[in-house]
Amino acid sequence: MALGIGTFQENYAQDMSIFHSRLQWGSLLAFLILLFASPLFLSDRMLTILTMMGISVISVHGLNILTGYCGQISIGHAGFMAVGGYTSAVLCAKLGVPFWAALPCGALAAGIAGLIFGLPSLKIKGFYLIMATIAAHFIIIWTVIQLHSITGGADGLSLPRAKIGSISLSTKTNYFYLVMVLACVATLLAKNIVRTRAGRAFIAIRDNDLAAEVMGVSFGATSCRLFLSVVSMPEWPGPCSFTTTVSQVPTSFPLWIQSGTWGC
Amino acid sequence: VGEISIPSESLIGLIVSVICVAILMLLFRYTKIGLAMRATAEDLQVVQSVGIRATTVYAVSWVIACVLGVIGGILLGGVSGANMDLANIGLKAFAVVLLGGVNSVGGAIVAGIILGMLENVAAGYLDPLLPGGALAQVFPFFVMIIVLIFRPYGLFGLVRIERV
Repeated sequence: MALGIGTFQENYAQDMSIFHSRLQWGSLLAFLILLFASPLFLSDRMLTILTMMGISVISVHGLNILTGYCGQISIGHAGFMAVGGYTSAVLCAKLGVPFWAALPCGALAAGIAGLIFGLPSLKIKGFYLIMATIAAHFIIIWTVIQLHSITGGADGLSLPRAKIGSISLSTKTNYFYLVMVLACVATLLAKNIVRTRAGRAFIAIRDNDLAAEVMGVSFGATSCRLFLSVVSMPEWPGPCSFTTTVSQVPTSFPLWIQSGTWGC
Repeated sequence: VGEISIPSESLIGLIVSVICVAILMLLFRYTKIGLAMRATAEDLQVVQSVGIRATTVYAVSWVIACVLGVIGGILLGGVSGANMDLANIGLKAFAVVLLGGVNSVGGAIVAGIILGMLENVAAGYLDPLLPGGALAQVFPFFVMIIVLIFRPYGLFGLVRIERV
């Protein structure tokens, strides 16, 4: 957050705070209240749009840390999203795992997939890494179609209505709340990840990997951790998106899903 | 020994692509602009300090890339008909480039032949074993991952590579 005129940081706690002034706190609160009150006065159509926006926000946080903060370009993100989405969808539909348990499982599976395809990134970077992630995308989507008996292949997977406890998530309003809570948590998490030791290591590697290595930032360990943590985060929307569409189809994860999502 | 019939589109495609590759190889070996492009790929700062306009070099390389892409597209459209699936060939081309080595014209030819054969052999022998088939679509990408892990500079590329 930018410092307003006349605001000074006088101690360490102030320096570390995300919001520096009452105005910033106030606008955040106003935004959150408006966001969470919006189902009261918005139409179903607008809610669906807002929900998709929330899902995109979660997804972009992962890509933002990976590409923006660590400088590792990933073109295969849609593939990793598919891993997360399909894992939790299969857990829900075939094994009867409750939705709240399937969500982190999907994230974990996508994280592991990211780790597997991230392993070559220990040796390569730049153009070669982009190629590896493109390959990852096509291989993942192809595998999904191959595992016809599990994933339903190209026809997709029809799913039971998701619910947490006794609350059904099939209504647009409940689903909106789930996505928005997850989006807020993801935002807070992303903001804080880049402030931790690991986050500063990411930035050091992006700016100059050789200098980072010399200063004791282990590229291998860091990028492993990065691929695991970062890739698993955007997979939340994977499971999220399947409840809106009710069926999971390979084509809902096109290669173009991440175009225009590279922020700073 | 019997006769083989070659459709005229394929024959034209073969001849034109051979001519293109020959021109490209000569360009990179003998002409000023080709040498400048190779030098720019090697070290941008050095190129700028010896007075080569890097922006012109980049512009020319884009032009060459697009023109060659168009030629390939026209030839491919003649052989297999023009449709949106032609775009997939462009993605598979990455695998060919990586296998051959990123800065090697000759490597691209060899890798193109290797991958084309591998793709069809894999499709022929492995597809019946798989439930969904269509291995030919992704086989180049498996090759790509393997190449990247074990030999990122490809078969004929310069061994110097951006390594961490």
